[in-house]
Amino acid sequence: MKKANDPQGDASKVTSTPQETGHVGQHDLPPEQQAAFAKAVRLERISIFVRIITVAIIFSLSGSSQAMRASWIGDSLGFLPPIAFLIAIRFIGRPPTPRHPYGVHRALGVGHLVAAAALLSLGGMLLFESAMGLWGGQRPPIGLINIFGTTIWAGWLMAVASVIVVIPSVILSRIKLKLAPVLHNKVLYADADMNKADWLTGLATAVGIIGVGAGLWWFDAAVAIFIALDILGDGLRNLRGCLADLIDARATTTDSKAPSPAIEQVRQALLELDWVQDADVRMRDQGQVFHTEAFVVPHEGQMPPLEELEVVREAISELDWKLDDLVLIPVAELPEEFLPQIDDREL
Amino acid sequence: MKTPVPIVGLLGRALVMCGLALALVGCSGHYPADPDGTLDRVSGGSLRVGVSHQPPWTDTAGDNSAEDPGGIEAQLIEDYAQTINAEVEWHAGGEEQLIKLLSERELDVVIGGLTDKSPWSSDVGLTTGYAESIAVDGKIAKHVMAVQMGENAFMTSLERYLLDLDIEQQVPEEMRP
Repeated sequence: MKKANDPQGDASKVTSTPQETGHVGQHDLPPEQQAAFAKAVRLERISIFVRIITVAIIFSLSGSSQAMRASWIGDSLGFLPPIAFLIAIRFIGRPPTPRHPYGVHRALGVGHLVAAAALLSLGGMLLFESAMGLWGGQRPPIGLINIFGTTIWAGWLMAVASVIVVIPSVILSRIKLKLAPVLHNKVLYADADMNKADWLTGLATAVGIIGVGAGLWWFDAAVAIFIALDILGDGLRNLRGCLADLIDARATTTDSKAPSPAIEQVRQALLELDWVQDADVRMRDQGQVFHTEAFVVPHEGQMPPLEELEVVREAISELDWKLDDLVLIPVAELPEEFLPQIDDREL
Repeated sequence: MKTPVPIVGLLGRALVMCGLALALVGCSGHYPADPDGTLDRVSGGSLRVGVSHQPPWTDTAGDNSAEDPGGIEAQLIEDYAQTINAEVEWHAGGEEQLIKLLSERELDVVIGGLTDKSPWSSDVGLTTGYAESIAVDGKIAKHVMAVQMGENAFMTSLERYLLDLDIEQQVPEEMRP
């Protein structure tokens, strides 16, 4: 970026993160979101720290078990979502500039893409490795191990270790799932999926090894395939969600499953106004916050005074912290080319 | 706000149940078990052992022969075979050939001064190290034997026997770490 040509590109912006300034772009963060943001940042830092430790443990233990080996490579892929989150929020804290009049909220979309790709690679890799193991009839040899003077079957140690190392993932995943909708942060949501993938894989590894111990050599790989499909599903859902947002799909809920309730909220609030005959909204997800264009048709072409329009715009923006970037457009007739949903509504 | 998913979802619960069921299955017979039943077959039967010449671990020259090899590991195998009432059937040959036969499941064990740094670990199962010695590069090497992949009851049976012995004493003085 050419900083010299950027009149507002002062140095303080480079390090401004939302939890420091209480802003994402020109959007003010309410106290609840500011607290959640600070918590999310802490959580992601903890995630990276915990992962460094678990990767080290799994790596040192990984024997020939299919799931065990895939587990530490997968754990390394898990670094991507927290890193993507921490980098993305460095950008979204910046206010809009002449070069970036909408702000740089879409940095979060890029982060979401990275997280989705990490999930997909993890699922794909696990599926491939396990399928190859099954196809090649690979029988994991698991012998005895001597720890602190006691000789035990290494399988027990691997099974217990892979269950213990996923305990943090279970906790982290749960907190992230609670925080993500508060912040409407899809990277955080994808990272919760990554943590879920971790603990599922860990559990599968333990079960797989116990199965191998029972003489079912294919069990390890079979369980891993089962888990791989689940992770691939999460990866695909996240990829679909983030690509949709990046190509300006209608704003959705944080889990990308339903249209954002904010769309209908804004429309209804406008329709309730005395001077409004008809209203409709198009809203896209910029990454945590929305860009909204609200079209209003005044009764019998009677325009309200400009002050009234200003008051209404402010009031609508206040409906949700994500709606600060909202434009109100008075029109004689709702433009169908911008509001394709009108056709559906009339049917 | 979305309700958080339960800690252990349906999938997780299914996995735990599978694990418990398997653990119970495993309690009958050997645990860990042999997919091909090697331990049951060789117990009271014949143990097919591949031996490649690598003194002092294995020795098929001099007073010894391919049919009656000497060396630390050859003796260990003879002693182990006795504990499971097995007759040792020796097959002398080069290491690569023997490993190939072992991975084809034509042999049960291969010995020949193998260590845990062996490149064969992707073809055959290597036991845990039962003795240490100084290798040609001056580094400490852990000595292992090679068994068929995944025959974990036989593998742990052999390992248990080896770990209970104090084999370091038999390693020549100059090779001890």
